[in-house]
Amino acid sequence: MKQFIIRRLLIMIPVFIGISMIIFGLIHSTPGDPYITMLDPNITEADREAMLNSIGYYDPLPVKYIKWIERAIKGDLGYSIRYKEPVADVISRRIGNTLLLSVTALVLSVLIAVPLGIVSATKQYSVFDYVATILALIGLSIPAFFFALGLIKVLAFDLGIFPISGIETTGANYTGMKRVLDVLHHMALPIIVLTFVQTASLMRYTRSSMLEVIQQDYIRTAKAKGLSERVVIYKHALRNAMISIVTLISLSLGGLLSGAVLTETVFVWPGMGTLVYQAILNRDYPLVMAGTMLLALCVLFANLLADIMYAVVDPRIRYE
Amino acid sequence: MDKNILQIEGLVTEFSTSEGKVTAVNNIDLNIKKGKIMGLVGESGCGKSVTSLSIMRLVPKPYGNISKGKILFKDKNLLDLNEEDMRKVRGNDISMIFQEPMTALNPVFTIGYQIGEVLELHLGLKGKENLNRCIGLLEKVGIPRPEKVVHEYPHQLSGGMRQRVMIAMALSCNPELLIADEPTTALDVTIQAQVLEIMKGLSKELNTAILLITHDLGVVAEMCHDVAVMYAGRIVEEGNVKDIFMNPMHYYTKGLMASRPNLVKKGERLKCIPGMVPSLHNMPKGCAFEPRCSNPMDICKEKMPELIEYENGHKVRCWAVEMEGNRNHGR
Amino acid sequence: MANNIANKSSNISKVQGEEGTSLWKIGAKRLIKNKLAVFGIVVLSILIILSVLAPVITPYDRDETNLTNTYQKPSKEHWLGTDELGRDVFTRLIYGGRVSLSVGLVSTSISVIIGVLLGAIGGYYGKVVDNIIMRIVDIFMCFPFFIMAITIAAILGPSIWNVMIISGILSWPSIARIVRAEVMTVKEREFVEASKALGLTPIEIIFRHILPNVLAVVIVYTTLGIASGILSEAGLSFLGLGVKQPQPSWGNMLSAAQNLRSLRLHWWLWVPPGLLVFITILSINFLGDGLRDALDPKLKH
Repeated sequence: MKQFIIRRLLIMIPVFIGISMIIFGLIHSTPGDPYITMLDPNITEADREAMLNSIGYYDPLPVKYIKWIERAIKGDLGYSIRYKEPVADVISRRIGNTLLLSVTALVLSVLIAVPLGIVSATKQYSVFDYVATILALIGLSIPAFFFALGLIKVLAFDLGIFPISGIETTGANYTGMKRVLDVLHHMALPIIVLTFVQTASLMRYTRSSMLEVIQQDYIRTAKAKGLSERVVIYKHALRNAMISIVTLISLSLGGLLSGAVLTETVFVWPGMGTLVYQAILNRDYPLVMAGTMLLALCVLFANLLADIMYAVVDPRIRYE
Repeated sequence: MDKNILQIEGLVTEFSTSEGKVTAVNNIDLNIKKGKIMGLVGESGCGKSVTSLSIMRLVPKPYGNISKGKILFKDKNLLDLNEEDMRKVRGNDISMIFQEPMTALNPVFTIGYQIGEVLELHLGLKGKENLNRCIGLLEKVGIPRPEKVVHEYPHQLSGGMRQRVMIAMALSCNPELLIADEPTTALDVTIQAQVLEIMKGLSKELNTAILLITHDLGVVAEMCHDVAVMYAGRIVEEGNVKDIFMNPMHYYTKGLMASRPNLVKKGERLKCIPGMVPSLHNMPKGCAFEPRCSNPMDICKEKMPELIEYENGHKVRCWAVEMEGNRNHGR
Repeated sequence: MANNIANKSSNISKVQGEEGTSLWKIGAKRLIKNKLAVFGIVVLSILIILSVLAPVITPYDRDETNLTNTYQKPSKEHWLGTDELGRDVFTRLIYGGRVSLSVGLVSTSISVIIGVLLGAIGGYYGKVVDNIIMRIVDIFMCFPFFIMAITIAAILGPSIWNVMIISGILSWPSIARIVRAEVMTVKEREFVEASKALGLTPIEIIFRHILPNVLAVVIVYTTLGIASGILSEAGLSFLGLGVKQPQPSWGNMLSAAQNLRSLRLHWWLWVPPGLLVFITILSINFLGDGLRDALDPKLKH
C-alpha cells in the first residue's frame, strides 16, 4: 500500500510541473502591465525601471517561472496587486468559505444520491426509478448558474425567504450562535444548487453501477445461499458497487472546489471561485497564479485520493 | 425402490422478451432419488439451467416466471412457499454450484466470510466455531493449507480451487440436494476429473443427491445413476445411465452418443447432428427435433409426441419409437 | 463521411463474424423505440430549424434598437418583450440559438479531432508515445476547467471563435482517454492482426480498421460533448467573457440577469435563454443516453 501511494505520488510530479508551467505561461502571456497601477505615478522613469527590474519584471519567462516555484515551495506565493497583502493571506481567508460550501454539498449529495441510486436500481423500471432518473437528467442538464438565478428570483426576491447574496448579513456583526444561523441562512441557496447538480450525476452513477453489479454471477450465488434480499443488495452488491462509487465521490471533490466558480459568482459568495475570477479580471497575476495552481492541486490530490480509495475498497488491487 | 427427494411435475417456466413470450422449460417431469446423482443433458439453450434456477426459485425476475407445475421437495411444494421459507431451503436443504467459478464468488469478501455466512445463516455458527468449520470444509474438498486460504480472496485462487470453495460452500449445511450447473465446463480437463471425484465422494459420504447439469456425456457416464436428456425445453429421453448409454432410443440421444469424440477411430470424421437448435421464438408445431432428425416422419411435423415409458423407467418422446413399440405390442 | 466510415465498419464486422453486420441498423431501430431519445431528436430538430430560419420567422431585425420601447413586457408584437435597447427578445433568442448551437458543434469537433487522434495514437503505439500523451491528458484533466477557460478568455479576448477554441482545447482529454482504452482492446482482436499480416501501414490500420470500431463510443461522447460546449458558452458569455454583444447568444442574453433589477423585474430577458439552454442540454442528454443504449453492445437489455 505504501509503495502504491509512493508510486502514485511520483507520477504526480511531472504532471504537477506540467500544470504549473502551462498555467504560468498562460498568465504571463496576458497583455498589459498590471504593476503600473501599483507604482507611485510621481516617480521618475529610471526609478520605475529599477523597481520593475528588482521585482524581476524583465526576466525571461523560464527564469521567472523558476523563481516563482522556488518561492512557492518556501510558502511565499507573492504579493497580491489588488489586495496589497501576501497572496497566501488572501487565499487563506477565502478557502474556508469554498470548502464550507463544497464539502457540505458533497456530503449532502452522497447522503441523498447513494440511497436513491440503490433503490432506483433495485426497482428498475418502477415509477420511482422513472421519476428519479428523469429528475437526475434534469439536474445534469440545468446550467447551475441559471438554476441559481431562478432560486434567487423566486425564493429571495419574490418570497423573501432567503438572502440574495453573500455569506452573512453585512453590518449586522452577529456573534456566536446567531452568526452560525446567519451563515447557514446565506448558505442555503448555493447549497441547494450545488447539491442538486452533484446529486444528479452521483445518483445516475450509483444506479448504473448497482445495475451492473446486480447482474453478476456472485449475486446469484448469494441468493442461492439463502441470504435475504436485503443482505444480497446492501452487503454483496453494494460493497462491489461502492468500489466505483467511492472513486467517483473522491474525484468529484476536486471538481466541486473549482467547478463552483459560477455558482459562487452568482451568489457573490466570498470563496476561491469569485476570488480567482475577480483576480483574472483585475490582472492580479500573483493571485491568479496561486489560486489556479491551488485548485489544480486540489484536483490532483482528489485524483490521488480516488486511486487510494479504489485500492482500499477493492481487494484485487491491494494484493497485485 | 429408492425414495424421491425431488419430484418435478409439469413445470413450465416462461420468459418475456422484447420479441414476445418464450417457454424455456416446457412441461417437465423429473424425479431425483435420495442420495443418487441425476444427469441432465442437452445443448446450450435447451432449458437445463432454467430448470435448475426454477428449482431454486431464482429465475431472474421480472422477465422470467414459473407459470405452471409443482416442485415437490420431500413432498412439500417449493412453489407454495413464501419467500422467507424458501430462503431457509436455499443453501440449507438445496444448494447450488455454478458454471463459472471465476465469477461466482464475490470478489470483495474473503473465502472464509463467504462460507461462514452460510454457516451463520442456517446453522447459527459464530466466531471461532464458524471459522473452524470453514477450515474443515475447505480441507474436505481438498484445498491445501485451508487455514490460510480461509483468509484469502477469490482472486488469489485458481479456477479449480474456487470451484472447490463453491462445493465446500454448497455442502456446508449437508444439503439433501445439490444442483451443479456445468460445474466443470470452465475448468481444465485434469482439474475436471478431480472436482468430479470430490463431488462423487461427498455425495456418497453425506448421502446428498445431485442434479448434475452438463453437456458432457463422458461426465454423465462417470458420475450419474440416472439421466434425462433435454431438447428445446422438453425432456426427450430419460432412464438409468446404463439403459441410456447401451440402448439410446431417441434420435437426438443417438446423435449425441455418436458425436462423442472418443468413439471415433483415427482417420474417421467426427460425427455431428446437422442443423441447429430451433429458436425458442418459433418452435415447430410438432417434434422440435424433427428438422434435424435422421428419421423424420410425416406425423413428426404435425404433433408433439408424448414422453412414454417403455421398460424399467426408460422413457422416450419420439413417434418412431412409439410406433415401433406399438407394433411390438401388437405382435 | 460518417456514412462512409459506417459502411466500412460494417464490412469489417462481416469479416469478424455475423455479430455486427446490421449493428447500425439495429442501433437505429433501438433508438427509435426509445421515447426519450426521440423526444430529444424532435426538440433539437425544432431548435435547429428555428435558428436556421430565424430571418424568415421573425419580422424584426436582430440588432434593431428602439430606445422608446425598452423593457417591454411580452405582448402580441413582442412575444418575449424587449430588452434594455428595445430589441425584440424572441428575435435575439432564435438568432442566439445559431451561436449557441454552433459553438457546441464546433468546439466539440475540435475536441473530438484532437482527442480521437491522440487517443488512437497513444492506444495503438503504447509505450513511450502513450506515456507522454497520457501525462498530457493527466495535466489537462487537472485543470480547473472553468477557471482555465476564464483565464484563456481573458487573454484571447471575448469572441465567438475564442469560446469555441477554449472549450475545444480544454475538453479533448476525456475523449482521448476513452478512445485510447477502446483502441487498446480493439488492437488485440484478430482482424487487426490480420491487417498487419496483410502489410497495411499503422495509419491505414488505425483509420480504416480500428477507428470505425470505436465509432459508437465516439458518437455517444460527441453528443454529450456538444452539451458541455453549449454549457461553457453560456457560462463564459454570462460572465462577459464569451460571445460579444451585439451578437446574441443564449449565454450573453442570460447575463442580463447580472443586473439585479432585471433579475427581479424583467424575467423575460433571462428566463427564456436559460430555459432554452436547459432544454437543449436535456434533449442532448436524452439523445446521448439513447445512443449509448442503442450502440453499445456491452449493455444488455
